[in-house]
Amino acid sequence: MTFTSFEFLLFFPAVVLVYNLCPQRFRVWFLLAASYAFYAFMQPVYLLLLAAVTGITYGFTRWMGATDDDDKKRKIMVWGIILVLLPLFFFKYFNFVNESIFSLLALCGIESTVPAIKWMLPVGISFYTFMAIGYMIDVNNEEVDVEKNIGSVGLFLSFFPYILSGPIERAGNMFPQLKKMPASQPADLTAGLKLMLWGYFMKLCVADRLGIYVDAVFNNFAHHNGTTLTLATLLYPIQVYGDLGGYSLIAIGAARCMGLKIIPNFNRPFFATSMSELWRRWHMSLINWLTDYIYTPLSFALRSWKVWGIVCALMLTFLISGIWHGAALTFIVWGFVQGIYLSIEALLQKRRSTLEIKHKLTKRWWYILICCVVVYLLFAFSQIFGRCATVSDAFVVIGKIFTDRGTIFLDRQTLGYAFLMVAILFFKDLKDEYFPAKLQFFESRSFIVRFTSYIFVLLFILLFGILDSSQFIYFQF
Amino acid sequence: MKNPYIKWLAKLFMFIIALVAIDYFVGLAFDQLRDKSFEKNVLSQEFTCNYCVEKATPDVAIIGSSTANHHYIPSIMEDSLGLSVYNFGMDGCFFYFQNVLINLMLDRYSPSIIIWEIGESSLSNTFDNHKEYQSIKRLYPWYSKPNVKSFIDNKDEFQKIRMLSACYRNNSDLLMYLRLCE
Repeated sequence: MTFTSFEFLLFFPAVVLVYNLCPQRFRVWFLLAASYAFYAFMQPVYLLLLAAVTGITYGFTRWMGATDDDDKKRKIMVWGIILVLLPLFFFKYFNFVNESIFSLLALCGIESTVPAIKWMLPVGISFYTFMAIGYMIDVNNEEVDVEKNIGSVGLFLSFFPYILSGPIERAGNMFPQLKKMPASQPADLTAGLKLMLWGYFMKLCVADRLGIYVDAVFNNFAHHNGTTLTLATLLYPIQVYGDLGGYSLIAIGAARCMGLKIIPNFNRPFFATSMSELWRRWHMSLINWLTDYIYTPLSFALRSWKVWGIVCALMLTFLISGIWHGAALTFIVWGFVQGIYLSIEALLQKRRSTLEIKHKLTKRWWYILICCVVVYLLFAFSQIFGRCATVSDAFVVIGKIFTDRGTIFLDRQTLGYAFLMVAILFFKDLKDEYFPAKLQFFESRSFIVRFTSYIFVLLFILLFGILDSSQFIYFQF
Repeated sequence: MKNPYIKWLAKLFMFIIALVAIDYFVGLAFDQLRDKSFEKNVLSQEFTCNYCVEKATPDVAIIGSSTANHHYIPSIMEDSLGLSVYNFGMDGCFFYFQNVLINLMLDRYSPSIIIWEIGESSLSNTFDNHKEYQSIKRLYPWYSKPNVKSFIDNKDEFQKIRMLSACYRNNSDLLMYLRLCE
């Protein structure tokens, strides 16, 4: 069952209804059962793994809470993190590490192999592992209190709106809400359904429509010329934004329908005027997690290296981000490229700021437009490594983009719909970014305008969306 | 209505009623657009399907997939047989689809000869759901017919519910009809 499957459209209203009919003290357990049932639809056997990670997280945080000695607490935290990371390592990274080690040995003339593990990757493992680690670190740093209710810990890690593809939630945000478990107010239901509606539009009308073209080109890149690959490369970031951004909105909206507020994940990323700003608007929950638990401690530890300490911290943080995305060299290269971008920006930051202040550039629309376009092009280029199966494939694509011109492959019908949907998305984001108080649709004071907007978006989804339950890109992580 | 939940549910109910009504009228508009596009363009696969079910009365009907569509030449057969021949072969339409199409045609008239091009994969025991249903949209206009409904509803357990929506039935058709009307 995914958010775009018919089963979810039956499951979700039933869960919201029963949640509200439940006495308040049972709501955590009901949602926990519903979340486990949701997960079981996809991979029932891996529920045991989820339960095990929950048990380890709960046990080790309780142990930390019972310890006054800071050193001992820290050691318990480290062992807890290692145990929680072990399943992620075995399911996601074992084969990659195994193949890499034996490839290196083979280069030295040593031929040996350990059989690969042929298990399906547990869906959502990267997400709930990071949430568990974040919680343990927060308990160690005394930023959150130890949660004594195992049901709350279980629900925090397995909550069905975000378990499969995030946002990566934080204990400090969720546990206070799980203690209250409020009933859904009409305002929550309306706000939640609006978020879900726009999320479905982004996913079904934008991401999946673009995916038909982008996947057709990238999956057969050897047969397409550089012009076609250029177009597919330029469209891919929008596809990912529609996919993950749409999924995140559906998750946030679904939680909101139950009165629970999840952290946002995207904030109109293509209006960023620098790479660092892009990463403050794109997949925010992951970047905030990496910033709080990797980048900030690293940059503090390396503060004596001044700006080079920042550069090292950035490179390591984005390398870890790349590794988190996938057990493949392409993702490591992708992370490396992001790190390079941000490092160059960090090194040139003072000069840029001086120039901007001197010429008042940040108030000029053409400067903002140029910055947005440059940032988008750099990001789209880096996404080639995220999209291709191998690094050599990525370099072939890049080589073709710069050398192999030709007639563009156009699927007029698909691209026609796609450009219309992208235009609608762009218009909405542009309005929200620069004219938030004007041209209200979903937030209009007029009941007729709001109603009409909902109907239009729903009709667009039914008429132009891809309605055959295609997968979300971030499920693979 | 002092209870806010009842007020909210009432709004939701009005919204659903409005959506159902608009969906119905959008469906009517698409029916008109489809008929107009078929009048203007007789080369589309969709026209072929419509012509086969609604109007055509050739002596020899060729039914099949892309093999039939691209490899059978009606004019040569007409020359040899002295009978009218029409090629109703369609890309991406396989055995079960073709079976429904033949039955729809036979409900209206019986040709002298049906040449039914069946690939060897159609004779295997396995039912490839994805393959058999990839062109299912072409049969949506005749969903009210029992054998068509039976075939379409068997796609999956929720197809019956999806087919209630006219917008769903006309999903991704607008640009095609507009292009055919040019």
